Amino acid sequence: MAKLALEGIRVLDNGVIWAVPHCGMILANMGAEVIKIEALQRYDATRGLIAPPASAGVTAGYPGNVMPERPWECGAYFHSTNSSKLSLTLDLSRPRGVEVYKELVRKSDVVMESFAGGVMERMGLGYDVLKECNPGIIMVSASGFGTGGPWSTYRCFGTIVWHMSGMAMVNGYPGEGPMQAGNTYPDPTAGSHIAGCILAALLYRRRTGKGQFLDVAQVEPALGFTGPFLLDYIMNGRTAERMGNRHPCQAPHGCYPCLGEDNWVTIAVTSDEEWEAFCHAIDRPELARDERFGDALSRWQNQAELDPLIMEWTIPREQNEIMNILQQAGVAATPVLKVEQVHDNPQHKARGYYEAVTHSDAGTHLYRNVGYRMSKTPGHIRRPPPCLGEHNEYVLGTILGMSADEMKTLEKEQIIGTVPLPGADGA
Amino acid sequence: MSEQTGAKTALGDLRVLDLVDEKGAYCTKIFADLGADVIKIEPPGGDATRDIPPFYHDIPHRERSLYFWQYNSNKRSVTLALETTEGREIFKRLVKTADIVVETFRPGYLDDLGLGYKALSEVNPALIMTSITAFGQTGPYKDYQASDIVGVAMGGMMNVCGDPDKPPLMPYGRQGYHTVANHAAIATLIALYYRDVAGRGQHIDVSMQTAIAQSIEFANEFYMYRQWVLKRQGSRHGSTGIGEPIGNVLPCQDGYICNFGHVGPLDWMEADGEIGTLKEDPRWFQDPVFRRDPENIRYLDERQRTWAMLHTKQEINDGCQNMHISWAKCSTLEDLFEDEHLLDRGFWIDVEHPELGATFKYPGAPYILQNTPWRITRRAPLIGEHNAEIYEKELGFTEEELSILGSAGVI
Repeated sequence: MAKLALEGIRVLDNGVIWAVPHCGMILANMGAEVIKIEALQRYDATRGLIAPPASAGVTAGYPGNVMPERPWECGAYFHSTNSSKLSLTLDLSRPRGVEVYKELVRKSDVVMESFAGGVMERMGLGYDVLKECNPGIIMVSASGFGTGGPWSTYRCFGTIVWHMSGMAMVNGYPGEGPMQAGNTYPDPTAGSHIAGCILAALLYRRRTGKGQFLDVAQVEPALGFTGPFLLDYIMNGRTAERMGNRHPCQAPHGCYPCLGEDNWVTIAVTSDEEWEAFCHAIDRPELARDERFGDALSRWQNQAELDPLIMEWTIPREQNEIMNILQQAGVAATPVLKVEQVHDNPQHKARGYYEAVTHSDAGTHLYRNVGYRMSKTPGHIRRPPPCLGEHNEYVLGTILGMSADEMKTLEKEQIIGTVPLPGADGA
Repeated sequence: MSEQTGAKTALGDLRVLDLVDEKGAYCTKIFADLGADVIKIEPPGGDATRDIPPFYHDIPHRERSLYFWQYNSNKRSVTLALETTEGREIFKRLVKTADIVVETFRPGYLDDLGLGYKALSEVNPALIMTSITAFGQTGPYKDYQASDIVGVAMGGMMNVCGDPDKPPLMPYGRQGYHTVANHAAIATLIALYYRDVAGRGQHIDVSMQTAIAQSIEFANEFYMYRQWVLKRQGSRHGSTGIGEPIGNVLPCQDGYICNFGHVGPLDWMEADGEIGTLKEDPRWFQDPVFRRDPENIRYLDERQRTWAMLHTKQEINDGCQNMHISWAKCSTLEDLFEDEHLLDRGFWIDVEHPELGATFKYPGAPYILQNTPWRITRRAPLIGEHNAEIYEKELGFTEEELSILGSAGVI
């Protein structure tokens, strides 16, 4: 009798790009009814361009690298973060759209959005208004800098969060400048924190019946992920330095080249026992007796001499061979996987991480499933990423009881619909 | 089940038993800071994460690890040797009072002790047990050794971080551990919600590799749809190479700034005499092919770099944001503590360390729950600080019994 854990919870997802949509997908895969809300006049930018100019080539990652008939239904980015959701179009810049939205709020549990501070209020959809519609509503505002404060209206993306949280400053190769992460990492950091605080608020509401307002400034969860370097600064006055792949107190620890193009392995030795096992595994038992590397401190201080010795051993070997030899010796070592290797990884395959899903326009592909396994409520991709306005009829007709005529009027007024208007991609 | 009092919290009625190392420290911290009674179960002598530097005033000591302080605020501590028969019995008595157990042992370790999910769910059928490992409880890699760097490497994140002509770069700050711990917290909260509805506990199996694979943006979909393999792009966004170069880190007068998604603050650059062809040539705005040309990328980069050196990071940050251009400063630690915005939001909070006679600023709430605030009411516990509170008052051991258990190495 496997059941979905969050069945019966309805979420209005006004998020765009990645952070809030990531949260929406987490909840949707676990059974919540997540309604993604976009407009014909402005859809989620991750859908890509409506009609990319021929000169642009195909930039949105369309399947088979072919321009699809409805490009906005084939954006790889959109598809990476909107599985299991329903889609409703609604123009919130017009009174009728706002009215319909409020009707929906009356029948929902959670509202989440990531507009810059003040935008929801200007549309007449601030928490005070939504609370009137539904006192039990849980509303999350999750812009880059949160509600209130001098920066609340700043334009923000994950990249900006990375820099303004101090993460960039400590991230990079030793002796070089600060660096971005290639995967807009603050977005999933924020998105998963948002999911966490929504769930906490839902639990609280079950006990008390009370909803509440959740104010997320994406820069703050990013600060939560920085570890003890803030305390080190406060208490010891130390400013953390960029360490690249080195560990603050263990060695060897790093990323070493191996056979093949741009192939690398990580190796992390965490104790003297592992060091000895490592030396035997790479057939250099004399290193275990070398006083330059005799204990953790010596190894750490002499990393510059140690690393080339390790590279001598890794360079002529295959990634998996290195992993197998060292793992058998009890030493943490693995390839640095490229995306196709992550995809084909035997561990992920054995755990059924990827699930085949068929999308009307994009075809059948493997998508990432829920990231954890729950014994009684496993969760999974329940439906493909939705087409624009695909569920208008269900949401307006079935949930709100709107008549077909009324929906036709809304469609005529372009408050709802399924075909985006020129400029909807923000281009 | 908690004895905690005071302000209403979201999770104030829950008890969590914490058997975690670095992989789970942030998970149980979330519960503790949202009000749950988190009891850290440490081996006699103290948890190994107390040995992680940095240390207070750089004096290594198990009661001075800033790492331990960071992740264990609000938690209580008891010592208990799970490897002893008495220790296991006491643990099971605690499990009866608990809602959640979070553990990070290698797969099978607790089963071997007779403390796996099956055994514990017999003691407490509503129990939620969350197991966090590098690769999960099943599969060919389940017994592999792993550190944080392994998680970010095997989840596909490390390969998209760093310069193209240098080794892949481990993101700073134990992101494998943070991400898996956060995922574990979400899964546990989902299970709690389900338990509220259906009355049943369950076992959750969380993998660091998979948690990171959830965090690599659209890499998977781009690969499936058009076999595009995202590569390291330095400080530019991962889509660079498939689309136009987005974002970079540039040095400025007194540090660094990051630019994102704009040609630049054109009027300002013009006023500074650094505009070049950016304003006069419409292709900068209309022609993606033109913008992707390596020669033009270099030209634009050069204009932006030269201009940025004319200003301070704060000037660029404020000036651009006021023009709705998302360029920002690269905050240093000093900046963070002076940032008016974080101060305005009350991000930094005071935490008292009574035995040191000192109060320190700590990083505060990752989110503001208006009615049920996140908070720190107590610094991280000393080793076994709450032995008496829990073993005597709750479980009814006498002082004499506790001293016998102590000398037997059980507590």
